[in-house]
Amino acid sequence: MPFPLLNIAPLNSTGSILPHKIDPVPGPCNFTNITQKPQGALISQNLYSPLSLTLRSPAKALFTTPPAIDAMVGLSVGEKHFIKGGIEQDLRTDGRKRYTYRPIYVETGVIPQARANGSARVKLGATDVIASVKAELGKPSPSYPDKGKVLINVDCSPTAEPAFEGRGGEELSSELSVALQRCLLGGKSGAGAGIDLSSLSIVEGKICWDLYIEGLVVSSDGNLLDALGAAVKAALSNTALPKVQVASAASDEQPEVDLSDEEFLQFDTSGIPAIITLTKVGKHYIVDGTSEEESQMSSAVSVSVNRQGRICGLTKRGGAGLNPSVILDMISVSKHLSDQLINKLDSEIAAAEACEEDEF
Amino acid sequence: MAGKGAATPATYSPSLTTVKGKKKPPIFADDANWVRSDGRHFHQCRPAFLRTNAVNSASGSAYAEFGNTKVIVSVFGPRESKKAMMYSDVGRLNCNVSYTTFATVHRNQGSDSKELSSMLYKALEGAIILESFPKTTVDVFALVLESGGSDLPVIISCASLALADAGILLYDLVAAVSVSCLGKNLVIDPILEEESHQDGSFMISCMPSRNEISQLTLTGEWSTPKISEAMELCLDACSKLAKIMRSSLREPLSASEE
Repeated sequence: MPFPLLNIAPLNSTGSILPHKIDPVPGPCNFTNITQKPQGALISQNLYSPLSLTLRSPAKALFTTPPAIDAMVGLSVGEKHFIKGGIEQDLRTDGRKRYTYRPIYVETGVIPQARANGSARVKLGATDVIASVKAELGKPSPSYPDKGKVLINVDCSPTAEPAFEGRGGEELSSELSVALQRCLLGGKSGAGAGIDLSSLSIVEGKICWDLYIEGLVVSSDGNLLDALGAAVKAALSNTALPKVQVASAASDEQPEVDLSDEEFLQFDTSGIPAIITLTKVGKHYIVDGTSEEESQMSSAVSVSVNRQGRICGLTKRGGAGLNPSVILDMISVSKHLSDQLINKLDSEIAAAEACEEDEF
Repeated sequence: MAGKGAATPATYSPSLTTVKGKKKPPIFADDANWVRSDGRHFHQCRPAFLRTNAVNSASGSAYAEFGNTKVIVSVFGPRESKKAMMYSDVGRLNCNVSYTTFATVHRNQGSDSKELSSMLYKALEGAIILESFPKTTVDVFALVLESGGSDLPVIISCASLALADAGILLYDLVAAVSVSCLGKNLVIDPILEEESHQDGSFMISCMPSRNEISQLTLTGEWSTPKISEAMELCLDACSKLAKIMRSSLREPLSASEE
């Protein structure tokens, strides 16, 4: 639990208990939600909640919330029922259906060219992420001499969520990085990768491009992985690699290269898959869950699907086990949804690029 | 650690076997007649050797040997959670995977142990009845003595056996199996050589008697029918592996009765 927020709680409890409890849709700034419910609210909850028959003192209740995501979203029993019931009836708290995304907003070139070769910002409701691509010349690894290297790293800033401070964000960061790597980079040999590694090779076994893809979570309201996947795709389509002139050198020497200042090569992003996370709440699954909805999930499966409808990566989150047939069903649902999402993303990216060009 | 010759390793192979005949030099060609370098069929697992009680000081431990992959897992606890941790009415699970320096051909070349640790955690957390030990922590330490391919599935299976040996309440044993996609073929329980040439990999950890998948990962490009085929193959292998795991738990008991 974040310390400074605990101090805010008594202030809130004086006036705004009721409106806060009735409104199941949190406002744009849900920091008030993060604090524990005021004392009065807890006791009134006890009256009708079957779960809290054992009387807990509010002070103890502060620590009973399970760790991780649930700790960040303080929800009352009523709110939890509201979310679950809504999902069951295909009408979520913000009016969406189970398979409807929040509006996606894409902006490219948010970081100046001198700092990064490509960048993009993706907003999905209140979730806000930035991805940047930095290209450097490097040496290919000896096991794959004809391929470039791509490193993906995600950073969860404490500005997004106080719980991300210090080591708290580390766990989520590494989980997201691994999931992104799995979804975009394919297997060890690079086969089936969304990013074509052989296109990054300049001189076989000598020089290649190293792409450093960095994701930053600016604000988090659920569905981080999908947003990051979209941001990486947008950032890569925004990436311009300088044209490389290779001065011919003896075969055993490191060849000299010359980077062009004027000619740039666009990166081909048509093969990059979209990531779709299906969050299972109760019996049903939803796409693009908010953090409130994600706190109620039993498990989530992230599937990355490319334009050809082939699965490029899959990861599962959440402790609860899943029946094999459910997983196969989730895969087919996400495959079905991928078409729409990829088209939507492509048009958003194209619009963002056009908008960026207008500015110059 | 138990000697290798103590018991005849039980082999298990899932059905759905399409036997590919004829010997050929072990090349990684997209060839239906190709025989794997260790002489197995595509859908045949390595012989599994499992033994509990490998470490005396631990509350529970297990040793697993699948071909060249050798793993030892110790379970400590449940012990009191560290004071700095907040109160929790469910138990905590702490997983750690490490490689010995001699586990791989090149020194310290083992896969990212941090990633493996988190994968191990995710595979096990759904199987343990954490409510049975509130306020306490269970430590699961896995050490890869020799890395010979399919490390993670072996670690997961071995860890669940060690948990059972430690008397931690489980919903079911967790068995894990991986499949590699080499060209058009699916190869179960791949060795290191096959893993480095694979086009895609698929790993499942499941609780066979509950018919539940606790964790799965997939890399590379797959079509939906191929995924269903791989899943069917893995699930069948997992249920057969779980039987071997169960019998290895009973083994020390029957020995003491004699």
